[in-house]
Amino acid sequence: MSDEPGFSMWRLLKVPFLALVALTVLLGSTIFLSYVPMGSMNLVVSLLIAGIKAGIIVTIFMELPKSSAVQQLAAGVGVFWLMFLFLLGFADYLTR
Amino acid sequence: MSSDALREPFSCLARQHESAVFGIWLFLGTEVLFFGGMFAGYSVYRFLYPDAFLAAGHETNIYYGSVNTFILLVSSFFMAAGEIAAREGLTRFARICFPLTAVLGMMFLILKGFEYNDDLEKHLFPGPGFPLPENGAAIFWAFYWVMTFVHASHLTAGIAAVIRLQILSRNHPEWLRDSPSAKVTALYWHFVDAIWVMLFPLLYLAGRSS
Repeated sequence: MSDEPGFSMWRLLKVPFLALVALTVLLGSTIFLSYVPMGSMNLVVSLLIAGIKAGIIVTIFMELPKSSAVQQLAAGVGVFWLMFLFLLGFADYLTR
Repeated sequence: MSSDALREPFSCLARQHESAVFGIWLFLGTEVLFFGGMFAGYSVYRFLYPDAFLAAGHETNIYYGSVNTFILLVSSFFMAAGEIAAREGLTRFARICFPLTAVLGMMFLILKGFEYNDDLEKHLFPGPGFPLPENGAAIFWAFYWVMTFVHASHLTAGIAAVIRLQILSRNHPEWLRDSPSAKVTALYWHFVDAIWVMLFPLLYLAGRSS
């Protein structure tokens, strides 16, 4: 590797740059769609797009799929317990 | 390989890197639960006061929110670019990306400050003089203030961590390549970005179509 000018940065940064483009398009889409009357689907659509954006950040910027198994496990633990927080919390409120 | 980056008790850089990245993912797991408690609270109260949350959400400033979201997304790109460059030994390029990341983070905070000022001028703070009549609207704004402030605090810590990379790599370009610091800082930065990506629809897009 070298620090010389002219080194092909594009080869290294192509994927993160395309991720940024995708995130920007998704941001524009979610803002536009939030003004379209869809009733309760507005929340579902906006959260779905936010989930896709977070997924792009985690997979491309944070490179989780390229991480070791133990690192992926550590990353999954928080989401796993968060699932219980929501499941048990709403199991109460939704069944009152 | 330089030994400057190697710290006790590790015998090699590879093991140190694996441990550091494992450690930050564990920390981020606790952060998921920390923010998750606030997201769960928001969700429960939105379920209990759906109309008030839509009316209150309509009062947030979507211009500031949208521009700030874009700023954070671009900052994450520069953070990723800097981290890749650091890993590849392209220290000069990495040291261009890190200040850009920090400046974008500061721009976010400055815009947030202007936004807070606008919110306060409209008395959108729960308590005496709160202008929205809907029962539950004040709860939305309580979540708005707490969640955005906690996020901004995390971003401030992220800016300090990025500046640390810039300072420590000043005379030690090999440190940036060998140390896990760039990777760990990048993971934290992207996490803070991802939290904002989830906050944005809940706080800024609610009630736009009504």
